[in-house]
Amino acid sequence: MKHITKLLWIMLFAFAGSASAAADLEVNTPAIAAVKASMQARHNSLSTYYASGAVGLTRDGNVAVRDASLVPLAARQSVNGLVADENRDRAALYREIARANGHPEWEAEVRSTFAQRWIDKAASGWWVQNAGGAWVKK
Amino acid sequence: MGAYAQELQLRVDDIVAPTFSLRGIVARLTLATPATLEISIDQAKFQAQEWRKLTLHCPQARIENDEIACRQGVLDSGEKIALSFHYWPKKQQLELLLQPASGERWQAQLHWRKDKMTASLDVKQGKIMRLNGWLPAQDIRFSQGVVDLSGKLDWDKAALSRFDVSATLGNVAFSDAAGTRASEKLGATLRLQGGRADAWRWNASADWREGEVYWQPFYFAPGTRSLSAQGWLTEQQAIVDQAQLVWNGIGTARFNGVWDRAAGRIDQLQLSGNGLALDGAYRTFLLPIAPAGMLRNLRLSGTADANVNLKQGQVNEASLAIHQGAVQQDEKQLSINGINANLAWQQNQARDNRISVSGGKLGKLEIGPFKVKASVAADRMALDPLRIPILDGALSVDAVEARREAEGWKWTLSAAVQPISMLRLSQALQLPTMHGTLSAIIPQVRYAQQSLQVDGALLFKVFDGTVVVKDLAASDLFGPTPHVYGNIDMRNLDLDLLTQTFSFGSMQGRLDVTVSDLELFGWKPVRFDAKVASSAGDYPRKISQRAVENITALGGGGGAAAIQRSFLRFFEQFGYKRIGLSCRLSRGVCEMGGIAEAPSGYVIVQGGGIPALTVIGYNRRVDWDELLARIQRATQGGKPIVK
Repeated sequence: MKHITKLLWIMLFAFAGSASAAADLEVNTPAIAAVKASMQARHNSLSTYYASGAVGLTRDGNVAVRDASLVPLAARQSVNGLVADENRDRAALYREIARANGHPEWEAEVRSTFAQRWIDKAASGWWVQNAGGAWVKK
Repeated sequence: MGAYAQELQLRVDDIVAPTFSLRGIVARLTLATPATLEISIDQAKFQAQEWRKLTLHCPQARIENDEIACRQGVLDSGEKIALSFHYWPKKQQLELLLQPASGERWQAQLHWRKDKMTASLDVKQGKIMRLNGWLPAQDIRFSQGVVDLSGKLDWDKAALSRFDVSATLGNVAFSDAAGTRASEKLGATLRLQGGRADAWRWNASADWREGEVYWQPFYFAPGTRSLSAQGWLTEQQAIVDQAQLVWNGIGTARFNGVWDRAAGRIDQLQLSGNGLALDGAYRTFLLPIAPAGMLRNLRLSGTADANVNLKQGQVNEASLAIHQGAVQQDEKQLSINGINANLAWQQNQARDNRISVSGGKLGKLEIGPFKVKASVAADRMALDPLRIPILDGALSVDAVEARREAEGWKWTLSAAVQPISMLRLSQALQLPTMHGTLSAIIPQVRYAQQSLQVDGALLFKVFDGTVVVKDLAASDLFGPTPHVYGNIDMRNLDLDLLTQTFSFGSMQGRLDVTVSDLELFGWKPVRFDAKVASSAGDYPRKISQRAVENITALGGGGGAAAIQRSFLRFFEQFGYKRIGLSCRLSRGVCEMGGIAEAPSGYVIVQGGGIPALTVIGYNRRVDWDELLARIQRATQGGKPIVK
């Protein structure tokens, strides 16, 4: 009985693994296109802060204010707003990609795959979180 | 003395007290004229501050029975600081002058007798960074700024004690390590006065003249603000009897309250402000704490009277009266004008709220005056029936209720659209002129966590037929990916009215349209299963040559060109038996079909009568955007492009 349960678990995980491997991350829908366009429009404003180190990429697929003191006082509030809006869009992107794949339950996996992608694609000099959550400069 | 100066070396025991300690003290006195004094201290501690290898060199020292003095001394603590002091042991008086830099002076005088003390401190151009060492480890640090200060203290154990401190700060910059609390170029004047009989009575004033402050999440731009306050200080409490805060751009607020020093929280606070500028208050205090994407880019006008009462650190009661308010959101083309409101909220008790609005605009649609009356409590809200005039009809909303549950607020309401003429609606929305009416009965709408569900049906009476929208739902309604779902059923639409309205080319007859499984994103369809078919029944069925051309163009066939080449071009109108077209939209592609299969195509118009014409569509898969472009070309009355 114990063996059968174990076998079932292995099969379940094997299935989950193959399912996520099959996820199409490049899938496009009007919602995904709209979120991407919104993120693209924000990217110019954010990239200045990525480059200065004020904002970094987190290991959970979000962005975060890493060092507010690198931003002029009057702009700190708007950087907070940019970060909050970007994270809202990113959450929507992961959700919509999972949905477009017909598996809304894949959202967490899509997020973690994207988290690694963003970090891998980050430009030299940007700050990213390592697996332990510490900030490192690329 | 001769040529030999007499030298005395004194090793002093460590001095250790609860708040300070001095260790490794050596004093060396050279009795020449003038005498010189050198004191070295291995380690000095005062509260959290620590200095190592301190030396004091006094080239002009005087040590007498009734006077010990050091002129033009230098204190070396890593930084060399000019220092002079005079100490009169019998008079119990001390004068100390520190001149760390050119123009910078810290001067203190102390005079004490049994149970009495007077002290004064004068600072000129004092570098405010010198305070950094005295601040708690995790707190802010100054990086720039000067202070001019003059302070006086008269302390008398038995009688009245007094203090009076005034300070002017200039060009002050501070920040914490994370940059979440910071200032730049801050200029302010402060005054604190007080006296003690039984408890300390104080009054304070502060004027912020220039500079900016960021105190996450709030940003205070350069501007003038001033605070004046007075109160008491006891062992247990800090009491503010009355205080006034004048905030340029917002208005004046008054408050009084009690701070519980032991518990470290507000015991009681009463705050009020009249005629506060809504826009300034929104930008400064509400916008920074608004959730992502919500309440952004609003422009407000009008004023408000606000009252807030806190007890034991929590809001107990709050009220807000809005006068001649207006809200405008440019992106969503939303505006609400002439808002007058009396809003109130109270812990553990429901309060009446009233809002009246003189009008507004939702996109291109104007809305008329309406009134809202609501009962609001901490965990629930209920609105009296409300009627919002829209053109010649209205949206009436009944039974609005909201409850706060573990996962957030849940709203339910029922509503009805009282007949709005489609003529006026289509004109207002700048759509092709339509006739008929729009009305709806919506038994229940539920909204929670950005998801909306409509039970019941919306009914439109247009083109002499009916349009019923059912199973309407929306998700992520105010978020970045708002989706709308529903099913639409249209019956007996008059083709003549329809084709006239959209300049499609004349057709006579009746149509049924069903759109199932509809999903919209950003008000554009992304998925549906639609079927257009002739309605059942007996009615004239005619189709013009132009309509045939347009239908053919939609199906992407070459039928229209075929007409032009045949004798059929001599006829203006044809009879038909049935019309039918279906489109199943998915991933930007419309899978098309007709009434019946035809050789390498599908029948869109099945001919009947004389002259009869059958239209066949050949394209099974049409790009949705391309199809929309074709419909637009067809309804603009131009010649369809037939490939």
